[in-house]
Amino acid sequence: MEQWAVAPPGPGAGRDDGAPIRHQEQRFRYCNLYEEHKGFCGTDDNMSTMLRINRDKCGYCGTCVAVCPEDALELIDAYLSLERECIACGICARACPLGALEVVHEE
Amino acid sequence: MKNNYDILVIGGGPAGALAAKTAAEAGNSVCIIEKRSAIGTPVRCAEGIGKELLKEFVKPDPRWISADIERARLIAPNGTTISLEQDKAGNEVGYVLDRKVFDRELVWQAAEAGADVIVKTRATEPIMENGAVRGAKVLSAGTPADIRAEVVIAADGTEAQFARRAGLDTVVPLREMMSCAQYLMTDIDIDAGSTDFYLGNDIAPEGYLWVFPKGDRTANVGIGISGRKSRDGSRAKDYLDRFVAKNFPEGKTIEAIAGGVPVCRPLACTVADGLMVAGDAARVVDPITGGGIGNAMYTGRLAAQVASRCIEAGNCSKEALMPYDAEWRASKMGAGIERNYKVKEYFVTLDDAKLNTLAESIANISLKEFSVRALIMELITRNPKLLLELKALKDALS
Ligand SMILES: Cc1cc2nc3c(=O)[nH]c(=O)nc-3n(C[C@H](O)[C@H](O)[C@H](O)COP(=O)(O)OP(=O)(O)OC[C@H]3O[C@@H](n4cnc5c(N)ncnc54)[C@H](O)[C@@H]3O)c2cc1C
Ligand code: SF4
Ligand code: SF4
Repeated sequence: MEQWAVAPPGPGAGRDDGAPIRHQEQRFRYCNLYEEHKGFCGTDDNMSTMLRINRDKCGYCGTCVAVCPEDALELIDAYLSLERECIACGICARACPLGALEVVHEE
Repeated sequence: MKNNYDILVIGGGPAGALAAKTAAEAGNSVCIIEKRSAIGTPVRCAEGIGKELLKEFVKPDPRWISADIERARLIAPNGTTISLEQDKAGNEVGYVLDRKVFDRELVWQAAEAGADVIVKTRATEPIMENGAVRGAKVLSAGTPADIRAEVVIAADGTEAQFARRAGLDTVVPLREMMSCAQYLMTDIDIDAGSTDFYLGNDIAPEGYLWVFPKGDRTANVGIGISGRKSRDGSRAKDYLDRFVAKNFPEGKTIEAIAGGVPVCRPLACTVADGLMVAGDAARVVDPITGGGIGNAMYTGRLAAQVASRCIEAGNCSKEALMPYDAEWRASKMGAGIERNYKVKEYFVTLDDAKLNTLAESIANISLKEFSVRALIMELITRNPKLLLELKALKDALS
């Protein structure tokens, strides 16, 4: 089993209350993941979605930061952190060369 | 910490270093802030650069040159190899650098010219007044501070968050982000005088895999694939591991790095009131080769030249800074990026069979000039039957 570091909710991340994160189509001008994800997120209000950062895998390269449509990530020297509101779109997780990010869906 | 400068540079990479050096030499007070605790590490680069390009900015020094390159080889999916030799082409090929030392040298030169350098200091957001950038809010080893400046040069690399927070759209579309992984390997059988590029959809989808020598039996072995091809089980690292297991099973990895190369078009505009964007942050990487060191140095230097003039004239508005944007776009670099962007958009559509055919058609050429342009010209001449298809390429050249 891998030990996941769960990204701490940043200011206004709205994650402490476990509220589901909804995909908003207009935010997807950057990629085509909406189709992949819409069956998952935003359709079921009992589902909560969040981004997990595996810091043991992360190579602190900043690739994820550059593709995030929400500017939610921050690379602080050798430490990647979710600092602002994340819509769990999964774009960063796709771009990561090392597979250190994962969008997880929880009932 | 001083908190007022003529020019504040965000990021201590090649773009930031050249900007700060140029600004200081022009008599400005200037400061580089770098969020990492050491300049140049971890490296996010395969370290290859053309000799002529390098010499425009700095005198080559053996302390930061790892290897002198005589040829480049393109290896098609079926193994067809196009070899470009320095002695046949008129111009020189390039060097593989040691960027840990190189980046430090550039920052050192900036410091020597009079620039302040502060590491472990991250710009968190711009100081905005009436829509204009007036400096940066920073966290310096955890302590918040404001640094004010007439002009801020954002040279913050791939992340490019400073310009973004000042209102420019720097987001890289997933498909145009090259997702990269690289091992510095030793004890491997390589041609120490050749940079090798492996092409193919099974090897590196919409990208390439490289072996850049760092000396005898040592090389940067790395790969970049399109973000849209990157998934669990088929990430950059997975492709790289497969290649290494097959080709260098006995090799030893002494450094493993990751990185992202933006191969989108440059930012629509690289200036705003009180702000200029240079290097990777401006997305001025060559979309075909992924090379960005030279372009970073060029844009960094140019940004500082224009900023110096504007500060002297007492006007650092977007309009006043605009000559920077106009000049790099009209430059050889700007034209090259636009051309190679179109070339890239064509190449990513090719399947392996087509790549093989094209490679075979030029397998035995000797180029008079060592460039993407010369290679494309050769492809067009040798494939008259594909004229219609290659029209996109031909248009890109004109
Ligand atoms: C795997 C890989 C291989 C490559 N191979 C080559 C190659 O062979 N040849 C080539 O020419 N190019 C190559 N490139 C591209 C090249 O590395 C870049 O184009 C070059 O480093 C760009 O320089 P820069 O100064 O713009 O940015 P960088 O070198 O990335 O420097 C930016 C700096 O800004 C700092 N920073 C970021 N945000 C902040 C902030 N908020 N506050 C303070 N500091 C900040 C960063 O820590 C970093 O040190 C490669 C890139 C990758 C990822
Ligand atoms: S892209 Fe992956 S390896 Fe790079 S900083 Fe983000 S999580 Fe870490
Ligand atoms: S999941 Fe989407 S919004 Fe969240 S950090 Fe990743 S790219 Fe940004």
